[in-house]
Amino acid sequence: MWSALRAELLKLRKRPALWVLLAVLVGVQVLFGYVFVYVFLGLETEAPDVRVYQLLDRLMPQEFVTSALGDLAGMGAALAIILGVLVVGSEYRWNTLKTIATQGPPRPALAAGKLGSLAAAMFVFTVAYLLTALVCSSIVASLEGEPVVLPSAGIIAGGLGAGWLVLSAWATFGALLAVALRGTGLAIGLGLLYALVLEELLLAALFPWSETIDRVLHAVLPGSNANALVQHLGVPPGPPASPLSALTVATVMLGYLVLFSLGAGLIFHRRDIA
Amino acid sequence: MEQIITTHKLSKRYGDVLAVDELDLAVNRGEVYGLLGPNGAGKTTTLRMLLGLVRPTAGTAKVLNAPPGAQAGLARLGALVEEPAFYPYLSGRDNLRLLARYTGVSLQRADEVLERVELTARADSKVKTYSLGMRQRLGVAAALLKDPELLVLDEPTSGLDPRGMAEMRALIRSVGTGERTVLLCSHLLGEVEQTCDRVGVIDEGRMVRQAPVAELRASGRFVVAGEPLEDAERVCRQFPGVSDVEIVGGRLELTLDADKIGDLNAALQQAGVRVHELRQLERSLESVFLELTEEEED
Repeated sequence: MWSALRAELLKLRKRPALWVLLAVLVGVQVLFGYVFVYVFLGLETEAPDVRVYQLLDRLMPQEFVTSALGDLAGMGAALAIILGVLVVGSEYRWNTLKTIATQGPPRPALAAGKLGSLAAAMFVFTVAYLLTALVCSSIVASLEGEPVVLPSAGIIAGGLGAGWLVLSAWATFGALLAVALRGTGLAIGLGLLYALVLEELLLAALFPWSETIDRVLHAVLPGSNANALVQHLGVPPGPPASPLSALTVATVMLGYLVLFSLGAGLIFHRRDIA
Repeated sequence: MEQIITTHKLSKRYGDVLAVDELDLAVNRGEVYGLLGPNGAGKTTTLRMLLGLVRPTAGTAKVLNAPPGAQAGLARLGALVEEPAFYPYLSGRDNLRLLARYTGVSLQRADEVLERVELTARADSKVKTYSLGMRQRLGVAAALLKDPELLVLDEPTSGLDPRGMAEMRALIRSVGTGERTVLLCSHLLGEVEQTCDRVGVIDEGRMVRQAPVAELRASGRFVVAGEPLEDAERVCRQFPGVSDVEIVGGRLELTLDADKIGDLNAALQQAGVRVHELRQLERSLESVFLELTEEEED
């Protein structure tokens, strides 16, 4: 399994798509999370109200973890799905699965190598995202003449763990779609459709009928749990709509990570490599 | 002789289509075995089953004493199935190094096989810039990476120019010497004729005939040229087992069991006939192939 993981990591490291997605993630964060907000705040200096100070507080280093996580659960999820699909689905598009499979590694090891490399990539994404937020917030602090005060180590570790868990769960969701659909195009489309539209639609459609169903769905659906997890760490608008505790929500996300991984692995193991 | 690949009633069905139908195949260690058949005959599906890429619907197979797809077997074989597939954003060398990592082979081995298929000069170019012929060579290099006991090649000369085809055939022959076995799948009869020791003809998923190339090409007809021709004709006509004697272009053509040809030669010499030529008439593999596959259609 380790040799498959090492090979997958080499493949991923040399793949331009990985770095493009990371650049998009970080670039959007810098522009929309800090540059545009800071410029907007600068234009409001004549009569600053409480909202402006609150926004400025969110740009400070003490808030960098929660600021970053808010975006990571939204746009990060979309990029994680795309990467998950690409890592697995491109093998079908390029027909390279047969090339690897005939070299001898067992299919479970191949699947584990792929999912392991995705998890590693999501860790890199999370670290890069948090580091970018730290750098941007430190720049804002120095521009405002404020001291650089960091959040506690516990919050940073929690943010890192939550960010990784959310991204990894969505990435394995993408991998599952790619294996099931044996390709990239449809899998990316359906993955994004679910994460960005369908879950919200489902919640909006069922909420008026039953509050109980709404609570159950919030407690069960991956997107709701991803949002709830980061809201438990202080991401606005908190508190989360989910009635579950932070630990339970994290467990649900971990469950999704395991479920999607097992699903992808099982289909990969059982299906013919056409 | 040790059989390195065996199948027993191996079958694969895709919905209503029976791609491979109770196929019995046996490949001996150390031979270059050609799997011949028209397009859609089930050759590639058979290879895919032998490599564990697709699971048979029925029947059994053993490859290197292991079930198809088992790591014990795959670790000792190299394969190129259909068109070679590689990661386009990686160089040829990186693709091979990647495969070496999967198998635990030393990275140095990638350079050795690149040299063997004469691709060293372009080893650092990205695969997406390779011609089909270069990708084909890289595919063979990948198949040779583990220095395998068994090499499975599916249409290995596809996309190569005539020189490349000749070089590939020479490479296959050189690989298939000694204890190493090559299973070559092709619909190019000339290629099979030039490279294979034994051939299995498959049509509509079924094994039609499996025999050494020489045996397949043997027509059972012999040419006898000798002087005086009249004496030669008389001896031949009287010889037990000879039939259908004809004079064609100043020589005799006759039908006889191959194992009696030595006795006929002795009888001719005893009768004072000076024998210039005594050989079996060989059919082309193409005519044998057409005959076998047309029989199936009938």
